[in-house]
This record gives sequence, structure tokens and C-alpha cells, in this order.
Amino acid sequence: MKYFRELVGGLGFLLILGTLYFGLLHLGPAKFFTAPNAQKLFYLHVPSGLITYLAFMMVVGGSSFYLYNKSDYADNIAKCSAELGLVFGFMSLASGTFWMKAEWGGDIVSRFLTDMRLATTLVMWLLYVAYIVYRRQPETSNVKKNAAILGLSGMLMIPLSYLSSRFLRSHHPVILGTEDQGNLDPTLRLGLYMGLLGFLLLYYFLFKLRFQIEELERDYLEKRMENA
Amino acid sequence: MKYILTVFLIFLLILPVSEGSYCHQEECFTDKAELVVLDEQIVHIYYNSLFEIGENWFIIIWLEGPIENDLDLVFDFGNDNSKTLVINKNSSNYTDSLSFSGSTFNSEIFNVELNVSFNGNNNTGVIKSNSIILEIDVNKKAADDMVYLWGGMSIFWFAIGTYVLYLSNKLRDLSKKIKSNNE
Repeated sequence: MKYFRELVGGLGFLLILGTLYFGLLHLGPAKFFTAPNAQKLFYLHVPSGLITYLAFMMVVGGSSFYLYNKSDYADNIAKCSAELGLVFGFMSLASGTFWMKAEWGGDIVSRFLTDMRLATTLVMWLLYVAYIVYRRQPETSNVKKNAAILGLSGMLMIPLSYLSSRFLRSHHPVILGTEDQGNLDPTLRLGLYMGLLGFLLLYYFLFKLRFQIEELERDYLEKRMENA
Repeated sequence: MKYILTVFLIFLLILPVSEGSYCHQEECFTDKAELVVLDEQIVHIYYNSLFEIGENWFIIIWLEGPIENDLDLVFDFGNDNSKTLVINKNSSNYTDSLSFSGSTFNSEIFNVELNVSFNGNNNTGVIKSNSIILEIDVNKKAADDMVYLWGGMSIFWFAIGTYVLYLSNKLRDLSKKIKSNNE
């Protein structure tokens, strides 16, 4: 199908708009929250966080394959996913900061330093900022190899960030895999799943687009090298 | 100029915020009414004509002159929202206050009537009563956390928009390079 990627992207965009309509207009202010209006960030904050983990896991996967068989294809996957992980990670961290300020109050900096979920997620994100910065240089096999090793650090940081609110000191709520998941209000769950699917489709669209650009760029550089 | 603005903004951000305590001074109230009770004594009623939902709404009364019998002052919004203030006999230049909780109302209403009445016996034993109506408006303040909601929501569109713009510029530059290379 010629426009499959665009179709998926458009559908993702519509689902996100649907989530916004559902969360902001259809449902009233949430109960049992200090900041019942800011709670609506939940419908996009949680999906963006989960997509961030997915993107960084793809970096780990791509980096592993690159180190295993020197596949440029795997390296491309890692590089493109890292960029998207930064975008979705920024969304998750920034929207979480707004929500945190409204719901918990207090000093933002000290929260990031003392709450382990926030601290580990920020460190994970900064690590991939370093990854992207490192990749902004001519792509020799040595650079790719070092980047892949850096990309593999996600093997430690992703589970550390994800599990930190369960086992370390953190105020961040834990829903998945707990009793709260079953107790989640059905309307809340519908909004969450709609937002998650929307972001997943948007991620697919952006990833495919970024991947295509990366391949075009490599082809162009290879041709230039041949001509030179 | 930028430097001054930055310093000013930082100053505003770190400025300690203190919740003002309730003011019970006469000048803190926007409106005043009078109710004649018993033997022509006057009860001065100080109130604000704007009821802010979520904030306690106060009324202060000041009784001018002595009374020789107990007096019940009833403040009634209707729908079981009423409060009674009992002024004991021999009170002179008596001051008291009462408040309605900020949750008395939950939506904006204009021209809400507060019926203020009294019941009591005068010094000749005759039951007397009188009432006045105070009109107020009920206001619902914008929620404090809305700014955080819109700030947080803007982040998503800002991030997606910026990244799509970045990809679009990258693709355009690359297409130009490929085209010139082919030529």
C-alpha cells in the first residue's frame, strides 16, 4: 500500500485528538486528586512515557544487533529510535513536571533529586541525549561501535527507571502489574488505551519517516564517496 | 533591558507567597446594610456582595445600643443554608461575625438573596420581627491547576511539531543535495 505510513500517522493523530476530546471535554474533573484538571495530563503523559521505553528498547535491540553482526540496518534502527525516544521522553518528563507541580507542589529541582523514578528517568533521557550528541560526527565504524555500547546502557537504565517507583523511594504512582490496574476506572482505562494506541501509531509513522531519511542520507554519502 | 526583565521575573518567581488571613475589619467589606430590631436599635451588617466559591464568606454585625431581651438573628439563603446568631440581652455595642462555607454554592449565580431576619421580644413583651434582603453574586474562580494542564498539553504539540519540522527540513535539504549531486 503506497500511503500506508501516512495513513497510520493520520490515524494516530486522530486517536490523539480523540483522546483529548475524551479526556478534556467528555470527562469532568477527576475525583480524589488535589489538581483534578491537571490530572487530565494522565491520558498523554503515561502513553508518552511507555513509548519512550519502547523507543529506548529499540535502541538497545539495534545496538546489540550492530555489535553482533555490524549491520547498518540495525544501527539505523538504533539511531532513529534514540531520536524518537528523546522526543517522547521530553514529552513525558515535561508534562510530568507540570502535573507534579500541580498535584504535589513543592520545589521541582528537589523532587527530581529525591524521587527515584524522576531521577532515574531523567538520567536515562540524558544518557540518550549524550548518545545523539555523540552521533553528530562522521560515522566511522568506530563511532558506530562506541555509540552501540552507549546505546546498550539502556539495558540497565530502562528497567531501573521503570522499576524504581516499585522498589526505591518514590511518590510516583504505580499502576501496571498492581491491584490498581484492575481497579482503574473503565473510562480512565479507555482514555489511556486510546492515547497509547494513538502515540504508538504516531511513533510508527515518525520512525518510518526518520528511517527513510537516514537511508537516503547514507546512500547519498556513499555515492559521494564513490564519486570522489 | 532584557537583564532587568529577567531579574524582575526571577524576583517574582522567588517572591514568598503568603496566604492572607481573613480580614474582619470594616474596610474589608464592600457593602453595608442596617436592620432595625426590637426597640429601634440598629444592627449594622457588613458583608461582601461577591461570594467566591471555595472561600469562606463572612458577615460582621455590630449592634448599636443595648437590648433588654435575647435576640435571634437569622441569615437564610434558602435550601437549608441558614445560620443563626444569638445576641444575649444587656449586650451593648455588641460585635460578632458568622461565616458561610465556601462550598455553600457550587456554581455561578447572580442576585442570590440572603434573607436577614430577627425574632425577639421587646421590653414590653411584644414579639417583634423584621427582615431585610441582601443581594449577592456567587462567583466561581478559574481553577488553579488549569494553567498546569494547558502548559503540559502544549508540551506534546510543541514536541511533535518541532520534530516534524526538523524532519521536514532535513528531508528538503537532503533532496536538494541529491538533486545537485545527480546533476
